[in-house]
Amino acid sequence: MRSPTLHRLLWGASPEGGSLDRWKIRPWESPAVGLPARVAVFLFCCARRSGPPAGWEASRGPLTWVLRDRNDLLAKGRLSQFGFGSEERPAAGAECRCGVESSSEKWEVPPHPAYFLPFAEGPMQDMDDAYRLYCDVLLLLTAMDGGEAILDSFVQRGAGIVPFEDRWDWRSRIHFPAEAWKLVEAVIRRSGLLETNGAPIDEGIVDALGPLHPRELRFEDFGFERIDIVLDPGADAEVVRAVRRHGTDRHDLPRELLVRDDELADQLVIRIAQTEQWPRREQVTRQFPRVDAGTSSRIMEQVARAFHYPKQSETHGEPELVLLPEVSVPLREVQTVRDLAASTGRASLAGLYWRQLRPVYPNRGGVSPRRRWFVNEAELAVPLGYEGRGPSSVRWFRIRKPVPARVETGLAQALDRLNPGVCWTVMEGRRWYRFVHPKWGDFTIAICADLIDPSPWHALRGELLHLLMVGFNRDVKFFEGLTWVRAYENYVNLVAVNHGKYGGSFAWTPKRRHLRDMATLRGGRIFLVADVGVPVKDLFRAQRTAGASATESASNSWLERKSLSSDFKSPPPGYVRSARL
Amino acid sequence: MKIPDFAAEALSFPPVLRAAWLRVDGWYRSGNQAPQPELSRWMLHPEAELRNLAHEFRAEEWTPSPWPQVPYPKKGERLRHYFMPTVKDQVAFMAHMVLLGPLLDSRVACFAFGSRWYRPIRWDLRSRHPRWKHCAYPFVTNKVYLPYSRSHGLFRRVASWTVGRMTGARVGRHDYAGKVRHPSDYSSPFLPAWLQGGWWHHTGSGEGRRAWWAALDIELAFPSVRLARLRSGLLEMLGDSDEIEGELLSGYPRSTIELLVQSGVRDAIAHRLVDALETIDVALATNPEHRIPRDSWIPHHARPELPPRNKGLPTGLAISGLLLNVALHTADTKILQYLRSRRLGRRGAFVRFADDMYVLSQSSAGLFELIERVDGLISGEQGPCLDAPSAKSNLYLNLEKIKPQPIREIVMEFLKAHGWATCDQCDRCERLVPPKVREKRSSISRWLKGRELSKAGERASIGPQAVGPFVTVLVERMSEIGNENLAARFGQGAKENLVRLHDLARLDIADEQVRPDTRRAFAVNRLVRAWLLPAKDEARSAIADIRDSVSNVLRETPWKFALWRAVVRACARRPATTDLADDDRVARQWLLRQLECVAVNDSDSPNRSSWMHVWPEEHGRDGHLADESWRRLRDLYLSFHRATFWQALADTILALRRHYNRLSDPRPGDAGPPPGWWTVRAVPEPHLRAVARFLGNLDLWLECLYRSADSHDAAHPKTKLREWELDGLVAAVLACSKRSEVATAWQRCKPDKDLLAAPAALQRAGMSKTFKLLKRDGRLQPSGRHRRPLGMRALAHVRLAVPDSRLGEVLFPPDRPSCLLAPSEDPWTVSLVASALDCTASLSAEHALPAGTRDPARFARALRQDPLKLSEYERVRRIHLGRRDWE
Repeated sequence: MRSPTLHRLLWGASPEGGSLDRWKIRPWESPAVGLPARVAVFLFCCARRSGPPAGWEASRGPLTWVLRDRNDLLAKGRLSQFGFGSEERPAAGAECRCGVESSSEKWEVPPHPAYFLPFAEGPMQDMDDAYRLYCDVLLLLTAMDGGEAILDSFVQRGAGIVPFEDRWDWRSRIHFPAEAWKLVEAVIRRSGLLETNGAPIDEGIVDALGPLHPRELRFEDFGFERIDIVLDPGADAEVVRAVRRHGTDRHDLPRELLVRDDELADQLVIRIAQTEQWPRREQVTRQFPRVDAGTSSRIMEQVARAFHYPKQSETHGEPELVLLPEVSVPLREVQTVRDLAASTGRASLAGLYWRQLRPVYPNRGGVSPRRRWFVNEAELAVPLGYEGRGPSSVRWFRIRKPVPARVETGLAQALDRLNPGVCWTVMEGRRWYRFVHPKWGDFTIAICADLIDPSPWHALRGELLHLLMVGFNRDVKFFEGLTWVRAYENYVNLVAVNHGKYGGSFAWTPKRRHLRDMATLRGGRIFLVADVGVPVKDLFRAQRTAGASATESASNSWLERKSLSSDFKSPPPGYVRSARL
Repeated sequence: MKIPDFAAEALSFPPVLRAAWLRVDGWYRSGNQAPQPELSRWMLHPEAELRNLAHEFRAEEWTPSPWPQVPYPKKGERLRHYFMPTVKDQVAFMAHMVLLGPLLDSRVACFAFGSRWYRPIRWDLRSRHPRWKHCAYPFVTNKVYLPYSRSHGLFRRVASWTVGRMTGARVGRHDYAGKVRHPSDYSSPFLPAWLQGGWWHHTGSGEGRRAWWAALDIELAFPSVRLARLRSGLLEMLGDSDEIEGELLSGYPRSTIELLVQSGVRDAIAHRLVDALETIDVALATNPEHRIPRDSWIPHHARPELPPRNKGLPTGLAISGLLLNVALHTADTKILQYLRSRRLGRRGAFVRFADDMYVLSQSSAGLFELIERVDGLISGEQGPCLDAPSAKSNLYLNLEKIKPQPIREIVMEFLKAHGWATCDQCDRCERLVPPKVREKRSSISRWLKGRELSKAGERASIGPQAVGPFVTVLVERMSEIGNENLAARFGQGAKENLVRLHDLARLDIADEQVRPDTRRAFAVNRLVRAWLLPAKDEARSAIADIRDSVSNVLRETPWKFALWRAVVRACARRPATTDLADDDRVARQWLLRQLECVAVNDSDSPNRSSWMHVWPEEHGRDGHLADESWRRLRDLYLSFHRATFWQALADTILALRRHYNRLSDPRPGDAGPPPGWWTVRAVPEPHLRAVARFLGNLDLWLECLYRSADSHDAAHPKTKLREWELDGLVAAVLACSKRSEVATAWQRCKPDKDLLAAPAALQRAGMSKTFKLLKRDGRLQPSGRHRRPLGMRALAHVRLAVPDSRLGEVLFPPDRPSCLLAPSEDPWTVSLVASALDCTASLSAEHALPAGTRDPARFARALRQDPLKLSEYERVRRIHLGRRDWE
């Protein structure tokens, strides 16, 4: 039996579960789902520590990571990423007792050609350490990405001429700090650093990845990742990213990820675009997950109108963010929406139609994989540098729905029945993003039923100004109540757009009485657009001071004194605005 | 001891050859004519071809093979000087430029904009004041030159900004290419000195400032270049190596940079390049009747010495554009020196786009001095000159094309005063020809003093209120339409878009910057892919309007043979809710009317619509050709039109079938073709296959095109079809067939040479006349008794047909040995070819990853000997991992 390597961990998870030793690698079927950043970095650091195998030199060929998963926690964690093996989940806090060794002889899959590039391009004398680091970096990228798409690009187009720190298509899914990307680039390019035999850069990468590196690996590290991103359109696009375990390490946000009062705008104008076009039911199942060109065109007509409508009110100003409902934008039109964001200067948060995850190495001969995955995602596209001169660059982030709704699991089941022998599953998302915009403040994104589970919202309490939700809800009444509860509980502006098929979009701010209701759009089968100006600066001030003011007010009330009343409600008990300078 | 040939080493380095192939591949994909089936064979297994080329480079055995001359039509009764090099030669020449291109291009003057070597730019958002910055030259890319929209856009903007600086006019603020509006958006290497501070000295207010301008053009620039001067120009430009190790080549392999740092290696590569250019020869058609006279493209009274006496740069060779910049580099440098030497207040400016130039000056006298100086420097003279009898460089200004008209008139009058006269041998020719003995001459400005004409020169100026051709509404309109946005897809936006495009196609719009034929071709190419409204009647009438515009433009610009792509696409368009039979009937009638224009037709034919009788551009003839010669040339034109129709038909059918296949047999995760595909807009998804089948009715089109007056039989036009026409016809036959059908048919034939041919067994209903014609003209491969393995030549034909899932069963039948390639062929090659043909699912276990690669150390060692194995390995590994039984 072969020793398990990284590729088995990445491409071998199946419902049969069990220990890593028994897994089989299925590149034709496994989707490219990366390991959580903390896990991938942990393995990388283990591999760096373990050193090269005895007697190895570069001429012996590339190195892979051989995994020693002593208490099967790696396997269990990976299975949990795919929703398998729920009955075997270890106890909370269980520590992973795993080790990583490098080996050039235990490859389970033929090494990717990127590992051989240095051999094809020049002599390899005295390059052992540098080449080992090169292999480790390629394996790290593979682990983070779950597939080898980045390695493919190295082979097909070389390292290219765009600095890695500007490769937003990679950086939108692999969240390394900018410094780490620079060092990864130096290793991949082998630019002038091979002569120094790699020593300084080796330590540099480990240091740069430090914020992602857990001292010990636990099962929870396979759970949710929290990713904080600075969206700064005026200056450098991105300052730092932190990937942290969900619900832990509170109040340790670096300065860059805190909101600055002096830069905040008075209000953020959000456009709720309740599009109502949708494929017919039989089309959804018959050609899943494709939307036919006719329906796609009808949907995009409404999307175009949503972007191009002039501002609706002089008091609100131009809308800066357009919200489109869950599963509304067909995948073949995603680029169109990004282009719209670039050309209009308006950011967009759009629910994307369901997407099937491609296997890492699909069979090119028409034999489709038995197990198939689909995801429900929303895409935030933010134009940066839109100032009337020069092109604006659009950065985008995909947020994957963490808990599939019954409608989706039901859809998977229906697809199974329609295509015997095929097993569809909804892939859950494991990342929770918090975005920090200098003018808008900090916000996060929810897709429909995400709002029901209180735990992520509890973890984000005190670190948000806005909660944006894209939905496709039949029970509008229920969501009306729930959205208000979440808005007040987290003391944020909550703007929820529902699909026009059912109608019912809401915008709440934690104010008193009728002031809390900023917009309510009702009526099914109707395309509606509304601009809402949500308070930013005032709410941020209220988040910091309203608690004390409310206590003061209550005290005055006991003392039968008068006190100044604010438009904002008093924050819920225990609420503290933590993420601020 | 043999001295290592480092130039050969650099040229034969496989990554360099692969980079060259990718550029050539991209060049063909961008619409340039490709020699088939050679290109298809390259696509099947490029590494094998590159290995051969590497071997020839190392052995110094590579020389270009003779290239066929192509009758590329030109406005007026002219052909272009145009060749179709083999793919191998394109790649070989390109390899030289992969190495030298960045070094040469980085030295080309910043006021020369055409054919600039591809180099990405980026908007540097990280700096406090964002602006455009150059990136390094990429090593691996599929682009040869900067895209036209970018290079021409900057050319236009720089010209506009220059006029703005000279006159104080507010120009160049429109959105010509994106949102860039001001010189400050560019870092300094982009812009010439006259757009930076201190160049212009102005007296008086902005209101009174004037500028004088002229547009110049080099006569037959490419074939006039002297290769000896090109050689010295190359060596001069490559002399300095300071930048090689810096940012310029940061994407290049280290070993290649180490070779390029050595000046001897650079020079040797340059020598090899020019040596190869010197050996290029013309391939004559095998059929003597079809031979194009070598000088058929040469206009009367051309001043330069042209091929075959002077080899020149061949048009059709992908790298010729950059080589023209090299040939003009010395002139560019001296023009800049001259402009710097002029005193403040008499300064001028010069911008060039390939062989088109603008000269600008602050006075009319200065302008004429500048024109004479530019002519002198381009001709290779030291001083001003306008009527050199034989230019050292063999490059001459085309005096007939000088703009604006008052400036041209002055130049012409000046020449007449110095002995130039109209040709007395031609009837309608008004071209001035130089005297046999050159008269002593003065400068134009001195000659002009006191003459009435000088007032015309004074009037031909531009000022802040009227900037002549430097800002045009039309360019802005075309730019806006070109940047297709979502608003133009729906409702009122879609309607307005159609109206604007029809206006551009049909109206006479006077604009000096955009030629009417360019405008019209742009408009109809956009029209055929425009979004229509979904309502049936509205869409039908919109399609009818589109077809009207297309046919109008086809008749108005008969030299724009590429319009056949728009014709075929217009014919393919169907409304979203279509009554297929009815719409097919209308489309058929319309297409047949268009085809009649270019049909083979004798003088006594009843078909009077054929352009053989009335050439639409008759009034544009300059009368040089006798009627018989003109008839033969027209015949050549029409043959090329027909060839282009067949090729456009093949491309359109393939595009429709590709779209259909993508929907009917989707790859995992494929969301369908993006809205940018024209087929998404043109044909409703349920009817893709039916429309492809409708277009595949080859006999119908053939009958219309080749019905002869005496035979009335489409299969028997009097003369044999020309090579390019037969190529197009075979391509259409293949595009109408599935790969499995073509493969089955080829199994019984033996392709004996690298010629596009249809296997006889492919015949079926609706193609009998086509096959009869192909048989008569030697393009039908007869079937034999035995089944043969398919060789690369046959497989190259198979690749040109429509992909289908049955191909694997034909090539790899489970009960018989493989029918793919010779039995001795190694499994790896078989896998690669199967991958290129999309039938890897049927590969058997014997084609699994070869044993050698199971040992990474051994494979790493093998790569040192043959790095091309890496890209082969990449594809084979992909197949391997996609198999369920891969372990």
